[in-house]
Parts: sequence; structure tokens; C-alpha cells
Amino acid sequence: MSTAGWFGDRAVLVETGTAQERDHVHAALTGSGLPGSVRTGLTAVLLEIDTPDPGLLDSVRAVLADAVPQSTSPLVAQRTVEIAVSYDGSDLDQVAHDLGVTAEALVRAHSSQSWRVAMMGFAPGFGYLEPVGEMLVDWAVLGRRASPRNRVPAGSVAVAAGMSAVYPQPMPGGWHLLGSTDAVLFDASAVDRPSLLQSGDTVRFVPTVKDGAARA
Amino acid sequence: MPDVIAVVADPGLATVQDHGRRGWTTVGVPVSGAWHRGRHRACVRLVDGSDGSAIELLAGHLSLEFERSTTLAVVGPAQVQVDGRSAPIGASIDVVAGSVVSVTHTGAGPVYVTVAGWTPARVLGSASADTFSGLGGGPLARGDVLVGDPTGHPGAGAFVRDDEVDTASVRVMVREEGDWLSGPWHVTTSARSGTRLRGGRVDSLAAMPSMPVVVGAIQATPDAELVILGPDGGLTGGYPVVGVVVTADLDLISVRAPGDPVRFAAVTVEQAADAHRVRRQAGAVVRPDGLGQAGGVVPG
Repeated sequence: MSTAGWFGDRAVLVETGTAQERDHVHAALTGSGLPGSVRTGLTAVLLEIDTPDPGLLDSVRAVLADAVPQSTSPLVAQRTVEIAVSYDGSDLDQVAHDLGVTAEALVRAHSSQSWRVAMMGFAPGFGYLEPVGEMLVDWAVLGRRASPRNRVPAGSVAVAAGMSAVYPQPMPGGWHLLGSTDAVLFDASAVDRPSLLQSGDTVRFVPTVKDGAARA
Repeated sequence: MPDVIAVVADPGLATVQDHGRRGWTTVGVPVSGAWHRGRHRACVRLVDGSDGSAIELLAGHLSLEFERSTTLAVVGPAQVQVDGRSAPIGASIDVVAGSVVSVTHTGAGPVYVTVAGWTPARVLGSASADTFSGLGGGPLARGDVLVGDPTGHPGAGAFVRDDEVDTASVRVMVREEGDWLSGPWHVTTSARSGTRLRGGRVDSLAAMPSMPVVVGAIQATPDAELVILGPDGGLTGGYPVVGVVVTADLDLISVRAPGDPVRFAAVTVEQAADAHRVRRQAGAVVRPDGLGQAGGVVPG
């Protein structure tokens, strides 16, 4: 059951129980026609507007009341984004060791996993990907690296804390690096769609020796 | 071809900021933009033809060498000189080709400088520098050139009323009741990413699954620190958010320096919306011919 509450005078935060419920609330608010932008967290959805509006909370509650009792199927068609990966990351062997599998099995587990964009943030185009459905390894066993790197290269494909991600730009990072991609995660000059990923997308990683990205 | 209108000779701690990069938070792009919205709004209103861009000076000194005649304005705690002679704050200032304008930060919070006809490059609709992701460019550096079309934007002697609204308390909408509301807190560090407070008590709260956050969100860290997120504070966070500063009082956070006290007062959303309306009515541009947007105050 989700609960909606004020998050300052220009935003309402809906706290949700499951990822499925979060995606449902996200779809309902995105499609509601309410003004503002809708962002997801791991177990929350935020609607933010530009100007304080005392009526916003009631508007959100009305949308939720209409939407939540419906079926649990997604309200909008989900996109699938395929990202070609060279599994040449410097933490590949260590992560395989920590998970008790071979490097080959780790690559198979990561590339056969279905991932969903739970949340965007940290940096432009950075998506937090959570595993969906069957898992060949228990991603949640992994924490973050004991010592973060000062600079993780753009295109690094990484895992940590039960999630996966691709670094859109060089930046500090504490995730374990499994590989790299030539896919462009964020292009500020592409004003129609600057980010390859958005909340709710399904992501598949495709092993390759030749880098590149394809979208299904 | 655009003309060169000014060259930065001494950049201080300065970035380009405007109304912000709106519409892209859903894909992880912060809004950024002017930290003190009231001063910024006043500054760009003083210069006809402004596209909303301003230099935000947080400390130090800014020097501009003008190669074309134009009009500029400065709003905030600063001393301004044009070719060594004092010039007013909160008024449009005409400069001739060859002038050197120096702006020295002298008080609390951001100072804004805008130049008629200056049109900095935009990224995703905004020229604002995001000091975290690097979008919109980094801090101004010596030799940077401000380009644009400087012609035909006389300021006509407009000036702004003092828009500073400094209340004893920072108004907040509470999410977690507790001792934190009564303080007393004081600022330890201040930056566009966030303002850190110590001194008060805050209940130890469990870390949250990473969640969306907003400018003005008050995070409680495990070692009893409060962090009020600023315009470059990022879009997600894992610390519990105990409250959120109301929109009308966000500017107050930008003028709090290390050591300054901060007191909070809880308000309802109706009170917050009223406060926002009052705040937006302050700082109107006034013209000597009486055609300004608000009546009344004409400095002697």
C-alpha cells in the first residue's frame, strides 16, 4: 500500500512497498496529466512542480485512488534497451570469487539477467538497475568496494548493492567494474532524448568483443 | 557575428547561472540555477534584453573588461567600481567601450552580475553551471570571454527595491517530528551542493533506500548533522529527510555563512504558498518615469 505525503511545498512523495507498486505509481502519475515531473526512487515516487500548490497532495491521492486498485500490469509499454558490453572490467575476477562462481559464469549471469531502471540520478543519465525475475547469482550479496575509485571511466559497467549501472561520464565511484561499453548513456546535445535510459526501462547487457549499443 | 562584450580578468568564485535547467530531472539532470533567486531575478530585470543569464559570485573579486559599450547591473553584497569610480548596486549601469568594471564580494551570500545582450551558450536549455556534473561549464576563469549582441538594450536608469526578506526563522514543512526542529543549529559549511548544520539534536533515524530529493530537503546524517540540499545537491539521497525548507525561504539558506545560527519554524503548505506569493511580489523593478511594476519606493 502506498502512502502519499508532502515533500516540501512543491512536491509530494509517494512511498511504495514493492518495485512493482513503484512502477505502477510511476506510470499512473506520469499518465495522469498532472503538471510537474515524476521521478522514482527505489521504493518511492516523487511528483515535483514549480510553484507551491496546496491542492497538490489531494490531486496525487485522487490519481492513486483511481490507479492502484487496477491490475498490477504496467500502464505503459516498457522499452527494452540493449547495451553491448565487453566483459573486461578490472573487478570481474574478484566479484566472481566473492560470489563463488567462475568469471564465465558471472558474465553469463549478468548478461542473461533482466534489469529494470529503478531510479535515475547521481549523474545525468546514470540509471540504477535492479534485477528482475530469475537470478543466476545473488546480486544482493555484493556491497560496494572497500575503497572507492577517484575516477571511473565513462562506459564502465558495474555492480554493487544488488544493482547494476553504467557510468555515463568519468567520475568517482565505489561500484565493482565488470566491463565497458561504447554506448553513449548521456548526450546533452541530443535535446529530444539526451539519456539512453529512463525509469521503467528494461535493460539487457549483450556480451561482445566489438563495442556498440543497439535498442530493441 | 556576435561581438565580444567583456573579458574576465579576475574570476573570483564565479559561475554562470540562470533560471535553471528545467525539465530533465527525470533523467538525472539537476536544475542548478541561481542559488539566491530573489537577487538573481532582480538583477536580470534591471537589464533590458537579458536572457536570464548572470554571473553568480560567491566570494572574492570579479573584473570585467568591456570592449563594447553596454549596460550591466549588480545585485547583492558587493562594491562596484567602473574605471575606479564607485557605481551603484541594484541599478542599471551604462559603460562605454574600454571600461573596466570591478565587483568585490563584501557580505553574505551570492552576488549577481548581468550584462545586456550577453547570451552564453546553453546546454539543455540553460547556461547554468552544474558544479557536480560539469554541465554548462565550470567556474569562470581568467580570460573567459562573455559574448553576445550588446546593441540596443539601454537600461533607462531602472533600479530595484531592496528585496531582502530576512526572518528570524527558516520556515519548513516537517516530515519527521523531533528535537531537530527546536535546534539550536549553526552553519558549519556552505556550498551550492548543500549547507551543513551542527549543534542541535536529531533522532537517529534508519537510512532510507535511495529516494528522490529536492532543493531545500533537510537530511539528517547518522552523526547528528543536518544537510540542507542546495541547487547542485543532486537528485537522489539515502539519508532520512526530516523536513523541507519552503520555497519562499530557500534564498535565506544561501546567505547563511559558517557560524551563523539557523532556527526553524514549522508551517503548513497553505502558509508556505502564501509566503511564496509575498516573496514573489518583493524586489520589483522601479523606473524613474513611474512605469515600473511596483509603486512606491524611490531611493533618495
